[in-house]
Amino acid sequence: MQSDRVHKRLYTDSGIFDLEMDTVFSKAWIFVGHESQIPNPGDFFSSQLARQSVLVVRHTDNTIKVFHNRCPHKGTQLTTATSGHVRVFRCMYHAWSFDTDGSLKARPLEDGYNGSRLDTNNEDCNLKGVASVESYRGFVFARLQSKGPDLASWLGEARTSIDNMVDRSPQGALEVVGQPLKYINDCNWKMLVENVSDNLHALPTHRSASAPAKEMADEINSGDEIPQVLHMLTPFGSPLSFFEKIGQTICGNGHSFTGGDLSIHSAYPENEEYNQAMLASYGEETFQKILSVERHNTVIYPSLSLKCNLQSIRVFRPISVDQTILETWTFRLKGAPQEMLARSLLYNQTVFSPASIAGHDDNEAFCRMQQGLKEGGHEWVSLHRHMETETPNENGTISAPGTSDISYRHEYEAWLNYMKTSQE
Amino acid sequence: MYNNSHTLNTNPFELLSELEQFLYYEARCIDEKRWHDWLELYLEEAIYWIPTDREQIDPLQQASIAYEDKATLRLRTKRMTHPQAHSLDRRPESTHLVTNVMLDDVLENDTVIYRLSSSFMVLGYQEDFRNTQTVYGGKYSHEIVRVGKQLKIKSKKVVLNNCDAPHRNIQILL
Repeated sequence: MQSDRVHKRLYTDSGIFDLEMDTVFSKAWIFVGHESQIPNPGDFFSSQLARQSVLVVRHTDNTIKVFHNRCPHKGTQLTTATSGHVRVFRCMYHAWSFDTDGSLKARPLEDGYNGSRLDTNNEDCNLKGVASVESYRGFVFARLQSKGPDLASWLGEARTSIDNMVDRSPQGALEVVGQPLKYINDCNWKMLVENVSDNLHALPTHRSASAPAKEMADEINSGDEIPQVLHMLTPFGSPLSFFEKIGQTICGNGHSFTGGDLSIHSAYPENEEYNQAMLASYGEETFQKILSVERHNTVIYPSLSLKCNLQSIRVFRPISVDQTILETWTFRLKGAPQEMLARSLLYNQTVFSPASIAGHDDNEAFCRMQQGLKEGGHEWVSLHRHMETETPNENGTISAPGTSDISYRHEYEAWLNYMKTSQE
Repeated sequence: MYNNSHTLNTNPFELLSELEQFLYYEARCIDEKRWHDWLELYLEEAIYWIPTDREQIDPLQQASIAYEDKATLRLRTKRMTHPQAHSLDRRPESTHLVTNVMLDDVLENDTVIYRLSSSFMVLGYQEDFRNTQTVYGGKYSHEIVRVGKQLKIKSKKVVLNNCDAPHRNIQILL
């Protein structure tokens, strides 16, 4: 890679993909889930970490543990459930059982292991935990490698997006609802991450959704209510000057956000009941401050993206060099009226579902890029936009016009840093 | 209603046949890409729902693959005929098979509501780099009402067998 362009092999070479899983996805903090999924000791859910299946469990001391989903005995997966509650994990094959801190609790005919390397004192009898696990305001991250910065420092200024999403609850708390939407994209994971900050594509790619939405909204008589779905899809057709104006900001470690004061979600109708609940909780000044943060998308590189103002997150799960599962999770703002959740669900279903109205054209672009990059001719992928329009901010972040490739460049800076330093 | 003594003016077999023909007609509108005709089959207050969970009862408490009112369905059909619907540049083809149709319930208030369940299999094909045919299977639940002489869909629920699995683009109307 070079500072203004990357070689096409970064998206098509399976050797590079394997290396990414051993470096980028092992050294970075990867989002595994949310604390609200496991409110009580013994609650667990399955997640993924660099192609590995892991179990995220709340132990009896309330700490959260992340284990590889494998019995230390013969290798059987401990569970195939997506979530559940256990007193102990018991392997279905030879009935070894494990406490929720991973320690071996019992195994039949214990004496038979006496004198072997796998006697009771051997730590290899326990479930293997993932090296590092930390939460930030309910968001649980894990890291395969132990070395590296703590979660809050690693998030840096990007953590203010998580703050803003949580602060939008009148009770300062979020709750995951249901299972995520899972959408298979036949493309390299980086295309999905990069698209989150790509404001140049919205108008040309999504015109088939935004143009009919505008047409339908225009046909509605003044005074009649405009269906919410039209409020959501019409702004995708905003002029490029709008997308230029919303700006974007890089935050370190590959993290970034687009928007700040303005986004395509800015003009949604307000919900009076919600405003009252927020006012009662925070008072006028803080309430206005929370709602004034109008970020369009935030990237927590490499696994997570947030829409703070819609309580929606997207999680990127790389499967292979040319396949990625996009998970879209919806959160309830605790203490907010049902309409706020309905709004988030409507957006996620209409834009990020496998049966979406807008997302199919993103997916089409990714599939065509994945195919197009196999072609000869040009060897490089461009990251050139607005290279000379970067404005440093006092807090160490750097801002640029909305259609800049600054977030792409910043992600590759972090990527290279993970890739070039040797493994532990 | 089959296997139940229900006082209907119509012969139950004629009624069932009429309802079956209606389901087949809906399927045909989709397979022939007659989006306007398809949309006409839905009441203005209709709901079209593809849950993510077989047991999902409340579409407003968790995400669905689709949960759409008539305005959203209208937007969907408008998009499908828009010249810049890039993902539909190569038009997908579909064949809907609707079978095992049962009239589960007839609710008589101001209007009559027929509750129908059926099984479906949909073959979808779109020319792309994979060139494969996709199979969707599961159960339909329709609520159908009679408006004047016409039958209309009040609600349609599509429970895919693999509703909780990751999916590629679902570009075929199910």
